[in-house]
Amino acid sequence: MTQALRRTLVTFWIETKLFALDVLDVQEVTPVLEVTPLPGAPRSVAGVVTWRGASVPVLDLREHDASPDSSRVRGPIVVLRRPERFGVLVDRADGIRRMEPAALEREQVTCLDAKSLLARGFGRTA
Amino acid sequence: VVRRAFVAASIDERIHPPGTAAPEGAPESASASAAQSTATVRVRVERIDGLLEGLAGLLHAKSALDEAIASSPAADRMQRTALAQILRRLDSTIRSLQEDVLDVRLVAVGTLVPKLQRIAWSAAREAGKSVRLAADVRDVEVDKEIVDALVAPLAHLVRNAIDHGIEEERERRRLGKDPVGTIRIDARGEGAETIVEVVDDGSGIDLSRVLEKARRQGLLPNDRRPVDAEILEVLFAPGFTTRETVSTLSGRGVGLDAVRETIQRWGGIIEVETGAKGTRMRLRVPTTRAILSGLLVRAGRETYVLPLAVVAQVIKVRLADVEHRNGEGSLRRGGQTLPVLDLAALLGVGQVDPAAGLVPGVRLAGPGREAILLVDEVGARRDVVSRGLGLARSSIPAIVGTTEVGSGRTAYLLDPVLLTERRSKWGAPEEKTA
Repeated sequence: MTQALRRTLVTFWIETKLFALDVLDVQEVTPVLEVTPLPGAPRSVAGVVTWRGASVPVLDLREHDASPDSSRVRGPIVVLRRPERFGVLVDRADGIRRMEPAALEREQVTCLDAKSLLARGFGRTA
Repeated sequence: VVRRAFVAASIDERIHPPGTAAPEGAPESASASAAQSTATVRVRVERIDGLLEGLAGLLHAKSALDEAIASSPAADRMQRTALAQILRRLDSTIRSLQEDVLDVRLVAVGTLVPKLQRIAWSAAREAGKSVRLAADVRDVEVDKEIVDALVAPLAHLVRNAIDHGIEEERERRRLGKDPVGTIRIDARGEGAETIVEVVDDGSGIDLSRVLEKARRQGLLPNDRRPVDAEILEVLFAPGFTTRETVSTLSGRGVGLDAVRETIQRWGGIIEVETGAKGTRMRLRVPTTRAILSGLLVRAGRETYVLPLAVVAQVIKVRLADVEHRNGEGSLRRGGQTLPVLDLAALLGVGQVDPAAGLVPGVRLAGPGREAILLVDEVGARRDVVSRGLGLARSSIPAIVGTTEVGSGRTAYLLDPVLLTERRSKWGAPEEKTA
């Protein structure tokens, strides 16, 4: 029973928090990339990276306010597997873990999902 | 590359009176002739895009190799020359492959014609007008995605032509015109661009009426007569309408702002010509989604790309020569007063240092939108592969796409028309004071 609830998750750090995405939602965790800030974009969007020859918009889930000098942002990008690709800027990749709901709670892992990220970051319901 | 043979002979179908079936002939004749000449394969667009992505990756790896060789310290000179030669060959092979793959994505503009004819037919019936739609698109081909993107704008323009352009039958008779109005869809290739025109033989756009309405809506100043280009520009203002009543055909008004937005998203432009003999709406779109000749400019920390087609000149601007009035700068140049725009300020990423003496600038060309754009640095010319913004949205409409410059760095493509738009909506600063 608990076996069935166990999920395989890609985990990563953003600031001091551990986040997770279902492994099926993730296409790749990239090495450190430089994100080009997009002028006029909402705060939730860090900018765009070029990844495998494609433009991938990148979400910034950090809670603190963007630095006033809007300096470049860099970091590994968790690229989501979606028809319309996007990524999440993270501070550090953690790994791949098989976890059950109780463990998620115990270790204070925030589970994300592609759908709500789309809505939160791009105002898109898909 | 095997190009599909496509014969879209000039289709000349009378749409009125109602009851005539919309013509369906074009697609059949196309596939029939294709079957005769070559065998064809149906390929999913995503597969082609996979190939393109792979090629872009290859190109990327190649430029990394370029950089590695250029920065290798004590490499043997002869060896370096030999390597450079191989790399050049590699580069041209990849690029020609890229073009071949892009060609695979081309589809005939003629595939749109039956759809437009159906739209014209029902629009004509609704408006109670007699209209025929003729198409001369020969074998013009455009990227699949761009063809798809053209459907809505072309449908809109056809409906506009019927609703606003073509007169009623009785009026046409009175004017000694053919009682049946004609709308022509013409397409032709021109360099890397494809031009699709919607031409009607109606009464043309009544500029004085547009001016009157625009003044009432505060879109044009009252104190002087704007030039025709400025008045036509108003047609593209969001929400502008000359109608008193809402019509089912063209909705609230002309709705050309949406048409322009779509065309611009694909790196195209829309032009209007109008006169007593009718109106010509010209859509100019890139033939392939891709390669655009651009000029790299820097504003703030980032690099942006301007389409080379709109760049008239790269200049140095002496800031002391810029006149300021109502928060807008202008510069006299060759008897003309050109507005001066600060790119970094427009993008909200900084502004030109007022203490700087000489600042690099780009003179933009184009009817009614001459302007000088101040930048932090003018870089190289570069052929870039343009891509959409995808999910990302910016409140700055002038950012229309992205591209890759250097090794893996992203740069945004700018649409100069949209950069200068705010100004043109309010009219150019007094040009005739001299």
